[in-house]
Amino acid sequence: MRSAIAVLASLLFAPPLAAQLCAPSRSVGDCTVEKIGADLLASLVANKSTGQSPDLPGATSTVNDFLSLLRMSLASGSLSEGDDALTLELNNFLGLPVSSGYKLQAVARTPKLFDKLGEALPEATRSGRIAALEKTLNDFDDVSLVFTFSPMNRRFGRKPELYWPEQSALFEAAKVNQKGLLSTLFTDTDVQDKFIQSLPEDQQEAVAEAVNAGTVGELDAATALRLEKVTKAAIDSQETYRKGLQQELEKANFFTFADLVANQPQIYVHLEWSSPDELVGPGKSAGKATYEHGFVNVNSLRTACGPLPISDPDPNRSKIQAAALAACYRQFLTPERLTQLRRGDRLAVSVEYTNVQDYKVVLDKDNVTFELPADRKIVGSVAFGRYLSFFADGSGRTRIDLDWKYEDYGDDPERQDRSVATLTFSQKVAGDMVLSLGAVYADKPEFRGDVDQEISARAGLSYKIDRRKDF
Amino acid sequence: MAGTTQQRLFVLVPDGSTLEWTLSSEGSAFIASADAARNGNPIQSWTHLQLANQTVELKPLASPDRYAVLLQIAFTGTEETEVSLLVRVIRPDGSVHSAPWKATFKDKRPEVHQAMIRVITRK
Repeated sequence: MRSAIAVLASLLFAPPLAAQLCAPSRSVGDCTVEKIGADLLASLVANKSTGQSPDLPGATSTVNDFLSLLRMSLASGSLSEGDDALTLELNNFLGLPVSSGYKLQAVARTPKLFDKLGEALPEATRSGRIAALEKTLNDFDDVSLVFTFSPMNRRFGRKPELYWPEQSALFEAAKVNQKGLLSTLFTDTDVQDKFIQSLPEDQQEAVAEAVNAGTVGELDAATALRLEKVTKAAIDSQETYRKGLQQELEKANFFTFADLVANQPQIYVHLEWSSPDELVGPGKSAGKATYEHGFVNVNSLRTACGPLPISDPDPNRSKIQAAALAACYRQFLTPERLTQLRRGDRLAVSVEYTNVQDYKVVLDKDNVTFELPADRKIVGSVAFGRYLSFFADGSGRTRIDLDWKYEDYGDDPERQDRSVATLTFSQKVAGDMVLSLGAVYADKPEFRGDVDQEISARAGLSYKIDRRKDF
Repeated sequence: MAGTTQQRLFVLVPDGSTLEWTLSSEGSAFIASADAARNGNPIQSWTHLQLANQTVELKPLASPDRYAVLLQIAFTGTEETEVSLLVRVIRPDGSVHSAPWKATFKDKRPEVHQAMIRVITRK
């Protein structure tokens, strides 16, 4: 499989792979920073109420974190080889910025005989014939093209850096109230510097290094005593300033802005095509589009406060804009909105389409003709989730997720359209332990699925306890 | 001190040296700003957006002067995060000061962290 990497790359994508790696105009550091930033962001958003899959039979997640799905797309291009598949992915092939959040993948799986076709072979010769038929398959007889798109701009997506101008403005506005204290801080810490400068020049370096290393106590007693006195004053002053700033930021709800970012709407589109060799299986096209919405977000702040600042080179204008935004932000965060933010209300809507082509293979040698009809399915789902109760530190304790799904098989006479609703309660019990209780209802008994306790033919209960950090 | 990161650096350097400090953007879940003072008087400020290019130079350093740069970082993440600061002092002859310094901040939202960098020029 490894030897096929270059062939696959040249077959599917004309530009050389090297050109798809970190762009020449960008430093390696920048690329690394993006990767680390994506990881941090994922951890930030993962701690918000993104509703990870509860892992209950029949239950589905309220919402998914699209960023983690697209995390790898922040790299410009990569090749990876798993046990059964070789994946080439590119995300700047359209010339759009990498931050647009899209990528194209070509996935070459190790071709294997279609399971159902294998089962149709005469049992007596089956294993030998499967091996013989698989030998006739080539490296690229099972290739899929996958396109994913999740826009990242100032209206969609949860990259904190997209909203740095607003965060920076709120930060600077809070600092304004600390201005007088800043001068005091510099004066107080200056005393420490003056003391060092007052020492004989040949001692200054050693004393400064002792201060840096925190080993003032190892200096001679007289110097250490005097230095500790001025150092303590400097540290106290710095701590007073730090605490004051933190209080100003908390008073201004500065840290809540991250919750608004984590509530930004997200769109995730996934399209997949495959047209494998007839021995591997039928051709398939599938697509899924999902929209996730948090109710109090940066967009709603923008609606309430007008266009938010991007960056004004004029420092005076910039200060006025920052003050105006901070004032409007304060009014925007009503008690109702703060409650909604804390609850982490989320709505997700998705539509999924799958089309499997009709399939017919004639194996004369085995005297087998195997056929499958075309299969088309459309699935629509709506999900809502929120926290119901919290621990004293503000983290979520109980969560509810409601999901309704409708599957449409069109005119297929062998399948009926169906609808399944799932309600899931998740309760954090201790540490990472989460107890999940799910109730499922299907409009037709055969679609209810397995449950731990049957209530009726159409309804049942499921329960599970597991470790989940991303509650 | 719980919940507090106060990093300090004294550097004694010859006249005309240059102070460069770089906030390594190892993550996006924070907002930072910096304020500089000369002999106890505030002289310059940088907002987070101005720090985005990641390097700010203070030069030239006159003598005898005491410079202080206060870097403040407010975490907006909810996971333990590291933010690094790298300080370089370049002497007039081009040599880099032997005490490159790196601060690591670890904590959770809401938290404000500070790094104080001090440079004293020799006569």
